[in-house]
Amino acid sequence: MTATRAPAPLPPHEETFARTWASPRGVAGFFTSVDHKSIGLRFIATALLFLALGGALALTMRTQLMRPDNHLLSPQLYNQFFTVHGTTMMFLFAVPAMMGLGVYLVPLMIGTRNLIFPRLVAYSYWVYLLGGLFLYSGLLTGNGPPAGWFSYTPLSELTFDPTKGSDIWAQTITFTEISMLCVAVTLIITIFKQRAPGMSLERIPLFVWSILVTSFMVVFAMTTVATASFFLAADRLVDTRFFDERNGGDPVLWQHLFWLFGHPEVYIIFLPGTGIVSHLVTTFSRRPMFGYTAIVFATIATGIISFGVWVHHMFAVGLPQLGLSFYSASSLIVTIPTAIQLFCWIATLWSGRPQWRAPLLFVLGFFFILVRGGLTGVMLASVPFDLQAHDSYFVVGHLHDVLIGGAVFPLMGALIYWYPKATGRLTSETAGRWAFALLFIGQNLTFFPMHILGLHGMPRRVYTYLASSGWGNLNFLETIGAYILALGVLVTVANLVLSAFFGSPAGDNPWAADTLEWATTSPPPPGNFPAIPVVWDRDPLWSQTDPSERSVVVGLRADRREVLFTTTLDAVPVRRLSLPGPTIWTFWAAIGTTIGLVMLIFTPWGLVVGSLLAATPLIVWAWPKAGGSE
Amino acid sequence: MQEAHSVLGPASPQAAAIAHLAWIFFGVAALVWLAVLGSLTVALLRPHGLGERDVDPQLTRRHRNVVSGALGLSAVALLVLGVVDYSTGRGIETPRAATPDTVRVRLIGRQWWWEIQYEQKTPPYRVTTANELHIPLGRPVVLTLESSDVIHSFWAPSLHGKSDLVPSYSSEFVIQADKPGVYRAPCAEYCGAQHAKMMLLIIAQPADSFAGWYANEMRDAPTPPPNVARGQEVFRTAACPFCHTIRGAATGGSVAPDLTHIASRMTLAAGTLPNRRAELAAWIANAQGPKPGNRMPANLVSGGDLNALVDYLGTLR
Repeated sequence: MTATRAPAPLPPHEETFARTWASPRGVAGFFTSVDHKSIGLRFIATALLFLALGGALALTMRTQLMRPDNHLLSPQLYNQFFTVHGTTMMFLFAVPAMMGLGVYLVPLMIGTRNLIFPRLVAYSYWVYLLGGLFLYSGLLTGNGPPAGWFSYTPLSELTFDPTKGSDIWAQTITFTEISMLCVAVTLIITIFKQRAPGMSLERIPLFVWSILVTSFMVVFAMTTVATASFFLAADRLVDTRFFDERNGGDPVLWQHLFWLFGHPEVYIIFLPGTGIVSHLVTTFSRRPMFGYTAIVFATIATGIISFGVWVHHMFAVGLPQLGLSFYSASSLIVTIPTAIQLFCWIATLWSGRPQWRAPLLFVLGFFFILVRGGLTGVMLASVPFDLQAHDSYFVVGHLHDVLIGGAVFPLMGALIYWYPKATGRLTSETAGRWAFALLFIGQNLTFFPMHILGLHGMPRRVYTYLASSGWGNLNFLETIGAYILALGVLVTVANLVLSAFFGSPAGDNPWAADTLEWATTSPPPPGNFPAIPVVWDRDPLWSQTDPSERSVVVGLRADRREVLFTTTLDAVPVRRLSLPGPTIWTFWAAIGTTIGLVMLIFTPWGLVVGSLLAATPLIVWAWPKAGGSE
Repeated sequence: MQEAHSVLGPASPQAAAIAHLAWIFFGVAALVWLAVLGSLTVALLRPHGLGERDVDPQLTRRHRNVVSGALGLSAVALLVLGVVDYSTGRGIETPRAATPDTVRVRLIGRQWWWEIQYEQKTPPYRVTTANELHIPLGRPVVLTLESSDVIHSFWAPSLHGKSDLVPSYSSEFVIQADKPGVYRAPCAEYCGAQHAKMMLLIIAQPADSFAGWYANEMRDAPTPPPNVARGQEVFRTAACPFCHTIRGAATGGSVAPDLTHIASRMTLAAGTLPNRRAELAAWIANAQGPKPGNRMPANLVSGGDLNALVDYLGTLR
């Protein structure tokens, strides 16, 4: 177990290694696999499916708003659509897509063979998928949640929503929180304990840093919203009255709990986007990142400060002025770390040799739109201005700038950039450029005019408006933009699907990039690295360009799923550890969880039944087997 | 009359202060955006001398200085904006002490209309109307904001920012209009099925015409002339008084708009329809058509009765 510089170190039993790490084939493999790569790709594919569904809802809403007094959607249906659209994009698309990218990339980037709790991550995928399907089954059966993705009480309480809609909403939140918490915990420990020897803290790739900070934020933010959604479900099911003002509860409590999660949520989506941008900037400017340490500290600072700004969603509630000033100031300050990152990326590009490939275009789109969204965000941190802009279309424009510019554009770049690693084939450059052009034009055409509409008095969440309001023309323009945006998504999806068959072979490192995921084959073998790499600096593939001269670790067993445990700070090897293999019980545990959570919208007995049904498979899956770690 | 609802077309000192602040923000934001995108463009288009992966220590040092400088500038800009913003906030704060000419109004949000109660120290102490708030020009109006069901939000963009109406809480908000006109105030907090059709109209008028309107509003409904007496009878005997009141004719419920002076209002159903005879008849016959989901149930008034009822309501000026 020593680091060597031996030429072409072949693992002793390459065949044994492949057999040990292989997932079962066929249907059984689909339900039992614990390979982080297949689970990560499933997360991403499912998230893209939900992006399409949420996008279809948005397109229908935009069509309704195309002209005043339109009758395409009834108010009830429109309200369910915007609720499900927001819930989908936040809980079922953005966070799972980013965390899924983390599940896929983190072990490859830090040079390990699988995540520390592979079965927990397999379980969390099923919980996520079933939770998402549950939400849409509600919409399809006429029980779509009608109270908005923020579900303000008392509107979401039984008195004002006697349907099952808000129950389904609350349980969907619980589903996704269980799922994301499991993934976050796994990623944190994997990043802390399984990095390749030599990958000390200051050599961790920036995407991994962003996922680490994001995962910590998930742990704190998602527990808050899971508490809130549990309180709401309990209010509705067993009359607990947490938010019922007529019985000692408080509707404003809901807003605090929800936004204490809700604002960090924005950064949970945005920070992985910045991690992606760091990699795209490095690779396509052919330059090590300027200000690596500053970016790492900026990422951490964003994560911390984002927990102290939530009241800027509540400026109009009527809270004391002094309190508002505090949250106003912290909302101004949170822009500083983002500014640091922006300046460092520009400095890197300044000294670099930019290569005009499609992923870099998405970085430019990111700059164009995100900087605008950040600046309107600074305006919204101002109490007086926010009193005007709050809950108007100005905010709709702002948040879509931040989320589409800050997360979707980097994600689209990431899909093109890491696609060859996952499939072994490159996507079409031409299609990538077309997709970028359509998404860029569509985004700006749809969301920029919204700022103007907001300033001219158009409130959010309205299913129609009067012709005399004068908002018709800009709304018409926005609807055209939305269709262009949708076309861009279609081109992207077609590009991803068709390239799997017709793309040109990529080779191990098609972009000549610097991080470890490019050291293994494309697609990587089960187990990722037959020999664990050793890292000497921040850009291992740029300092060790010749694959035959790369340092590796030897001495791990091939007949078990062994990974190397290293110290948290300096990544010094300390022990070997055997990871568990495929199992069907994670799937059954997810089914048990689902039965429990669904039953809970009808009867409190769901808690008992669900616990039993989930606990049994959990015990079987965790039952110790002979021969554990060493 | 043009109905105004624009943040950038202020008609009050508060809205003017916020609009002023907004223009400062827009100016600074535009400059920063141009600076960032400009330096990005230069970074990408400038000739690149360095070879692949090379690092020039001198360039790195220069970058460190430039980036630190830009950060310092950003911090200063944020600080300045913060101060400007804070002082604007202090300027538009709700004054604690009321002046003698202050008008006091309770504004109660209901799904999906606005109840308005003018408060005075002499009988009848309270004058109730709905959906149209008349205010005298140039005088501060203290609104006491309350909700009887879910959270709503008061927002008249031309006059001021928002203030929420939260059930079980009561808050005060001061508005003032310096230009005569009709200002729109749509509900700004999502409040259920008909959130989109919950408009308050604020009619700002000179002191004398406000006084005239108010004097009329204080009076009960007049005894109907004989040709529309049958309409009053229809109102009394149909389901109407379960929810509506016409002072002087039928003391009924208060869960729906007070109709004592309905004919003097500009719109029906919180800005949904213009208040004309045909629309009023259509509304009574089928309120769920133009505003689906609203709380007005179907009723059995039709034919001659409906005509008589509409004729009668038309006299309630």
